[in-house]
Amino acid sequence: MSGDRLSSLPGQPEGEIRHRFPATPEAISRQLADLSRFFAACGIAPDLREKVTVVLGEVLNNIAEHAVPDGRGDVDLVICPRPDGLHVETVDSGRALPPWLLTSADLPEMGTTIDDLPEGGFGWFIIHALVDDMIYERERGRNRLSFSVCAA
Amino acid sequence: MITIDTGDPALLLVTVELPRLDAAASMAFKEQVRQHAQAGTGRVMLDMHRVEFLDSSGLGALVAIMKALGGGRRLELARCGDAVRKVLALTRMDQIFVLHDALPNCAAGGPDQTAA
Repeated sequence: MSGDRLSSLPGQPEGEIRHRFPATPEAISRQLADLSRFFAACGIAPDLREKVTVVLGEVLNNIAEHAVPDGRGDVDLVICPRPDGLHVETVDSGRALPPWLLTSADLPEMGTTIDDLPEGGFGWFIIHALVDDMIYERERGRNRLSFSVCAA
Repeated sequence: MITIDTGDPALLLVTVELPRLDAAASMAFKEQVRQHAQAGTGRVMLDMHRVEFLDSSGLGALVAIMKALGGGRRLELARCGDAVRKVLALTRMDQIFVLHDALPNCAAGGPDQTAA
């Protein structure tokens, strides 16, 4: 797969979006900016557009940071329109996802002073707050994560 | 990446020029703002009106900047867009930063006076 842009998106069968790009923060950032413009051009409501790009940002950056930390691997992304929103699937060949992240996540402890405030740990809280029916499968060295993001 | 307005010695106004405050940008952004903010002792306000996307890395950078201010100073965020506000509200960090709908009057000679 050559580029990491979304030029091949329009005209996919039944509106399905499929793309492969390197698991690096820079490629993910470009991908999400392109997706956001694409969703706007498709007429997807701002609220759903924001939700899905925020969730995807957390999911993809988690892959880049923990599953494929050396950046030497790709992510396959599939997005399918559904009557009530969007269904998303990501596949990577990196390290397995720790199972405790899949059920739920609390906000990180805020502490009592400015110095106690958390600088991380928001990602999985954001994901669980915004998605429905998350499924994770580890199969033949690959991670497959799928979930739905519903409108309104 | 950022524009500094030093028109008011009591307020460091930093315009964030990035459309995306995300994992790709947050480290460099954090270092830049921290350098400027630590040099003074007054209020520090980020003008966020150009930021269209904030993720947990960007949020972590904002927290790290506030910690670096020292002296119990709160980081102030002005003109956050809808998408940014939603992330701040979801993570309850809207209770931690001081949010402003508009720039203060004392900044009304700044480079962004007509940008709103």
